[in-house]
Amino acid sequence: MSLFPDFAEDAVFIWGAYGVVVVALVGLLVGTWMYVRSAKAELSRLRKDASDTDERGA
Amino acid sequence: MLSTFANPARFMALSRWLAPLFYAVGGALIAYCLYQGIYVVPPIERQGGDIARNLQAHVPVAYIATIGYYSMAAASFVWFIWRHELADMAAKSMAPLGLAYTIAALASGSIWGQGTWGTWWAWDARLTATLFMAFLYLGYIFLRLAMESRQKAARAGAILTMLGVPIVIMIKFSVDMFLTLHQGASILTAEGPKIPWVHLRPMFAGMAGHMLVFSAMTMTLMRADIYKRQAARWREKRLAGAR
Repeated sequence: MSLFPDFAEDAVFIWGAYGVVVVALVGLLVGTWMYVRSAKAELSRLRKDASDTDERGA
Repeated sequence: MLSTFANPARFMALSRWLAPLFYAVGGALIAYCLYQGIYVVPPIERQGGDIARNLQAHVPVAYIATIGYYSMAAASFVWFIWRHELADMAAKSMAPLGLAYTIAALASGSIWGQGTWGTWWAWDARLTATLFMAFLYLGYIFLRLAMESRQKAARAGAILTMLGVPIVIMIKFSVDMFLTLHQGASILTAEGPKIPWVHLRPMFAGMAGHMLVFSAMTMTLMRADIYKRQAARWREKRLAGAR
């Protein structure tokens, strides 16, 4: 079985459609992961700042 | 029962293990669908031969673009009636995902169209209704951004989403109501599916996989929204303490 089967003149349309779907899906997954990671990091930073302030106050 | 799941703490506990499970199972089903589409299924001669392999790439994505909109409308309805904040978060999270799925469906369909019809685009009823759905998703995102408070954004977004439902219903029936370039209904028909089972099986797996991954990404974005709200509360608390 070849990695790139011979689809003759249809090849560009088949690989193009599959490529669009894979790129869109990977883009969404990476974007979603980066978004939640930044939100979580911001919350952790605020909590850490607050606990540092509390310790200094004490 | 709805109130049981409308609790953010319960949602965070549930989504912590449910989202990774959905990513894993959904990813495996999508990989199976795409692999079958490229390497296993035979060409369908009456549908252009090898190019019919695009069924496995295009159809599940187009299906989820539509299901995503119905889910967003259902979440908006729940927020509108019961004012559950998690329902609004769900609708807000689904909008960019649904938009991306709609763009992917339009782009993959356009490539397929060039290969079979000889044109990238036609003002055909199904294609045009799908384009309108992309505008609805986009309109929802911008409408929310334009509102000054979260409550106003949720209300305006919910109304727009519910008003857009007839357009999305049109996508399904457009091929039966109008003379279109797009092929007619081939799965849900009175005579049963018109596509061979060898093509349908991976396609259904792809639909299920995309549905699971879409749900997992929605949960992830909702978790991010909850983190952001918690961060905003911390900031307010600090400001109040500093005064």
